[in-house]
Amino acid sequence: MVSTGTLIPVLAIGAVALASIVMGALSLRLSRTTSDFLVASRSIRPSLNAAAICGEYLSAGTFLGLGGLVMVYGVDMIWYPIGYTAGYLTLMFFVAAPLRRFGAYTIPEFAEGRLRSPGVRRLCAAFVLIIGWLYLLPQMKGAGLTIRTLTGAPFWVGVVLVGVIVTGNVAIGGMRGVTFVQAFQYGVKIVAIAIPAIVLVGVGLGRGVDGHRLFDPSPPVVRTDVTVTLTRGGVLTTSTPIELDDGDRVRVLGPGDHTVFAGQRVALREGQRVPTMSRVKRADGQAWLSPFTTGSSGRSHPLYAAVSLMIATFLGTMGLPHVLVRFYTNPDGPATRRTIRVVLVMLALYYLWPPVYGVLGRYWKAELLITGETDSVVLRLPARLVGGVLGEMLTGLVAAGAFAAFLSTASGLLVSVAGALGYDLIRPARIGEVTRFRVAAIAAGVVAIGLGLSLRNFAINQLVGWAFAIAASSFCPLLVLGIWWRRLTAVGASAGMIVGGGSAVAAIAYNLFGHPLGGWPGALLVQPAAWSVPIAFATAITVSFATARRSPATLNPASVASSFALLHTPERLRRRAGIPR
Amino acid sequence: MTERPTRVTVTHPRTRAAERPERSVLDAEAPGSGNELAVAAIARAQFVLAMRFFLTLVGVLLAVPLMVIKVRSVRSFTVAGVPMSWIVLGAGFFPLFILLGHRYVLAAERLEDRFVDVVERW
Repeated sequence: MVSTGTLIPVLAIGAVALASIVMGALSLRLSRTTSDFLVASRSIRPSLNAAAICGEYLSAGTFLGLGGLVMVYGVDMIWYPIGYTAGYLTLMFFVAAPLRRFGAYTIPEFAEGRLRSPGVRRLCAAFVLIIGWLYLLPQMKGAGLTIRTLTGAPFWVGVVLVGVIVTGNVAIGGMRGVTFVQAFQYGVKIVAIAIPAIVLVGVGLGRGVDGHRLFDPSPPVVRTDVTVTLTRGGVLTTSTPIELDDGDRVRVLGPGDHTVFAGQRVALREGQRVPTMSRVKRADGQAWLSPFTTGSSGRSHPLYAAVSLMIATFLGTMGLPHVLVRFYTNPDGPATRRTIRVVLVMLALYYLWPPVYGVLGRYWKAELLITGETDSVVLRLPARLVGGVLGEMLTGLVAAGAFAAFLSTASGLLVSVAGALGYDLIRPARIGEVTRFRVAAIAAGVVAIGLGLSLRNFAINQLVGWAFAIAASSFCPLLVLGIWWRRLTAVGASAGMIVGGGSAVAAIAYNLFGHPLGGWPGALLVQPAAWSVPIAFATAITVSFATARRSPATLNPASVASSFALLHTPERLRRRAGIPR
Repeated sequence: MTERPTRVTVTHPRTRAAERPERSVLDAEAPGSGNELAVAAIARAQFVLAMRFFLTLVGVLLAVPLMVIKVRSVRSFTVAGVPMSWIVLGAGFFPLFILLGHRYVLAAERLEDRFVDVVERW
């Protein structure tokens, strides 16, 4: 059911979806042979590759989720983009150049090459699957939410739409060699997030809503008469009388606590304070306005939460399977560093904007706070502030940007997941390489769609944060120790991944399926990185010492020495010896 | 011009790294050789450099929140109604990151150049 007001946004989404299908089909023709692909890759400039990396990296988590989180919990949520950017610095300092020199482009491959153990390769592949699927979930939710917000269609429509497009694309096009397409996606996203934000701030200022009113510590207020359909039941607390519509009759609820149910509708008047809901957390007043007052998901110990989130994003970026593979298109180690230098600038230009939507949303669209659907604030703001065709065009722009975000990130993730599934975990010898990849892609896509349909009650960006926490607790020790420490053994690396990564997975599984805990246990589970990363490092180091006798360093010293020579010898020395890069 | 190559779908960035690593000029013929020591030296120097930059980054990230918490005047300071903490977190860190990244790129390349010079003279 598409009303006339949503025609432009729906057309915009259709255009993005169609463009990505066409580009996927074309990439099959463009990447003709393996060597063609490699040679072409080597000519790619750092700035173009940086745009491609950003195109793949900026996902639903930052396009939709970040604005929503800032709207609900305030300034503390800006630690997310700070961490997402700083993660590239740690990637640059410790991993990028040596890994490029080593010539392994996926983590399972690096693990096997460095540690000479097929078992470690399979373990890494298992973590690629976990991280990949966890990171795919918010993309699916973002798609379902976007389609429902814009057209009123059920949630599953968007999930299935994005799932099918991405799966089909990956299965047909394979490893999309077209860096240009990903770079173009970055362009779409930055235009789609920045231009509407600038227009909306301008419109707000035109109506006298300046910084003093946007950052007012008083509780959020509804700006126009609205009716909100509750998505969850619970206890509603209001300070002023409100109307509750059951469907067959309308009651007036006085100030105080009331039990309400999902599906009931609440009518709010202009200027009325937004009631609070027991099951939809939020921060108000100074807790929203000042740093270190809420913590992610509004739980206790905000300083711990911020530090732990920093650790997850700092050390997790290097472990994201779809990011590392991109550096493969750089010609050498120094070029990967220069690429990251450009990535930092491009991310900074983008991350300025999502918090703007959060702040504007809290002023103009405060009624979203009682539904818990704040992830849709970026999509709903333009229509709230700007009427007519211009408003529709702005909505179309953000919708197109959001879709570009789901499609590009989900494609990159699905390629990594399918690769890990079809090459590293299972290797049925009788099936040809291309067929195997396609089967793996379809299997991985079906799982992602299934997960996307069944899990939806979480904040998009929080799930992204959890994927980082797992990556930091499993792949960061493997990469950092593998690159810089000769004594790392296959057993030690595996133990570190199983203990550290495993405990992070367990904590996150509890958050998704268990009963929420308060106090310190709750804080530790919601942000596990601060304890799971040190545990992972300690385990990897201790077990490596304990198994030193069986390590390749003892059994085959030349193997570790040549790994180290590959990782750390500057390219100029290799070239002089006539060794191909 | 050679014959047009047959079309192959690239499905995975498969490398030979796992099976047969390419050799570098500094590949060790024997453990404890001069080449192995040279690799150890550049690796250590790079690691020290990386650590120095990493600790600077951590220091910057810790200093700013502490300042925001401890210094009340920073906390209450606003620009056109926008609180200082929002400006610092929302935009202030990024130029520092870019500067740090830029300095690291230069430092790491200088380190490599010096190393190559030493090895070539040696």
